[in-house]
Amino acid sequence: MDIQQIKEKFSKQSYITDDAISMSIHLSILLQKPLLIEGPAGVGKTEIAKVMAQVMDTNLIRLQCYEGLDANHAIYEWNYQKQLLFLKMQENENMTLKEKEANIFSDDFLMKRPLLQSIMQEKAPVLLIDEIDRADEEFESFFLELLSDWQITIPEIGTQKAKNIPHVIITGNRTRELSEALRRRCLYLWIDYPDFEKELSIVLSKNPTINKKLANQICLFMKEVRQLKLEKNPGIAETLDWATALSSMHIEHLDKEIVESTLGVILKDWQDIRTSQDSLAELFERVGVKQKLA
Amino acid sequence: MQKLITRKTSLPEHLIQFIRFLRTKGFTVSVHEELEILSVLEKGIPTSYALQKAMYKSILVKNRKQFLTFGEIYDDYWTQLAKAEDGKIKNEEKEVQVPKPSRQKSDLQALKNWLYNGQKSEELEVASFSALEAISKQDFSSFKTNEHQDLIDIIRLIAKKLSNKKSRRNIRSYSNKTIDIKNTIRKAMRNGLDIHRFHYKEKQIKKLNLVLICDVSRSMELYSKFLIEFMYGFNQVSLNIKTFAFSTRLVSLTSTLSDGNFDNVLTNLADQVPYWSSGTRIGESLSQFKTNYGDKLLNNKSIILILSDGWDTGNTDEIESTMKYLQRKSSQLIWMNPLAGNPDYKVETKAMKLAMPYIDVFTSAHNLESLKGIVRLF
Repeated sequence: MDIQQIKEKFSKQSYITDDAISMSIHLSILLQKPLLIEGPAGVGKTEIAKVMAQVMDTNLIRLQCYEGLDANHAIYEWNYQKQLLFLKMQENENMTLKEKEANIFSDDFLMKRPLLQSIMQEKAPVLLIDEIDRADEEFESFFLELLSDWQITIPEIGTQKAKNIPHVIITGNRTRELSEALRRRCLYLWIDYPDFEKELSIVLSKNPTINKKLANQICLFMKEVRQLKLEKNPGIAETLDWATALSSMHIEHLDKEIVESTLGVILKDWQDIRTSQDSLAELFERVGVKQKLA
Repeated sequence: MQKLITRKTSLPEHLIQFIRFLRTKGFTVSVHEELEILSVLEKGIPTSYALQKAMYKSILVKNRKQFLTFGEIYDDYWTQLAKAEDGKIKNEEKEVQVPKPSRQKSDLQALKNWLYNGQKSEELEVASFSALEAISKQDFSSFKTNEHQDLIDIIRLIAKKLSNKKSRRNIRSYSNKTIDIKNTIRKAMRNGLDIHRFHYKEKQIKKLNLVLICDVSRSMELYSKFLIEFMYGFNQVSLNIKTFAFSTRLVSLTSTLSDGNFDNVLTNLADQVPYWSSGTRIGESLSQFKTNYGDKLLNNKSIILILSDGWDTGNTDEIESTMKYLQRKSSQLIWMNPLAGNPDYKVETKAMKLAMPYIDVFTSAHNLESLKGIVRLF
């Protein structure tokens, strides 16, 4: 896929890309290198992997990272219960210990977790390592091992080499600094809040039936809200939620009452709501929303 | 000095020259990236300047700071190269122009002056090795700029240890870390000691629910560097820490300090706390915390850590009732006072006297040794 094709195919899936995004995806596929995407919450980092899987007509394998994530949850685990049950059933059969062992340490008893799954696929899947900064540094270490050799060693059955190298997308919200070793092995992409034009095209693409004046006002309003220095700035996900909500209520333009009653859709912190309520008049003026006189 | 940008005849030579130029701007680029670029170019050179820039950027950039500055550096390089190719630049020795830093906002400059006591910020970036033993007993007020990095590293280590402390209690585990033999046998006894499934256990992680309230007033100026790094270090290693700063009023800094880049943190802090190094209103600030955040953030497992010297230039009426509330709503109320490291220190300020009866642990926070002592409290 060249860059123009990436832009077009992503656009068909309602994901608007720019040069930086499409080039990063293109190079990630071309060089078979993981793509590390950082940026504020809700700007569409995870969505890239989902759309990429759709566009490439392949599976999306997702590993959601969290504090305490270990190899058993990320790579593989033996199904001990099933093994015990199997041994119990085979009790009366004349099998040597070696035969029994060979039986229970086979593919049937192996629970493949996302990383192992991703290298065993017949067609290279998209492997999404979501919010890697939430996992411990230990996880980064064994993930690095996988990235360098694309193989996983299971002591009981041997080394499993990747049938196809997956397309790896790693996302992070910068809650902690990632290691240099990991950064070196990845291509890097920073996605920030979109500018007005891009956000408008995203809204129109995801909500084709929305009133254009309303979409315009929503995007202008969101742009201004992000200037307020809030605890949690609303992302594109919130813009889309708001646009869908207002559009489904058949609202054609913003007004004070509507904004006040739906502020909870875009702001998720009570102090942010209070801060924005204090600045509503100013925001309306900048966005060009007419306020009713009391 | 050898000139950085000259005319080259082949693509690899141009690439090597550009990468050298990039390294002078602080980028760490290895041969591996150079080879990757060449292999991409072999498959087809991007058709436009913007796409070429995007290609170089995607491969050579490794963090946000580089991502944001790359465009300017790339444009600068090609502008200078174009001039060299036009023959307008003579071959005489001439330094490459470094883009002038943009004028910083006055409040950011004020913060930096306060933070670095007027020293150039560049000096801070040149961190040198300093043994932990040597600096652990040194007062934070006398810290040299080149020990900045050591201090951050140690604070981070302490903060990380705090946030991942394991409890002595075992809990049921769903990962196969350690087999809980006692529980497995007990359950197997029901089936005549036939083990149908194993049960596992693991040490419970004590989740630290910490509220950090730091005094950033003028009287704490000597400890300014330590204060910001202390708050930043804590925020970088745990998600469950809420940080506030106060001088004449309270400001929440949790989201500001969560940025991975310390320079961005400083820029944002300047916007967030417009009253650095001004007077102190401990009573009113703590009361503000009680009203706005108290019920939302505190529970019986919370630890409140107040970092202040106790000098109050405001109204002290509210201190007693607020401290009483904070003690009741938390498991531990710790007050770290940098002045308490002095052997002659006595509690004399009115605010400190009023607060003392409600403090569970009163400790000094003037050097790393005292800081490490706090770990044992949790």
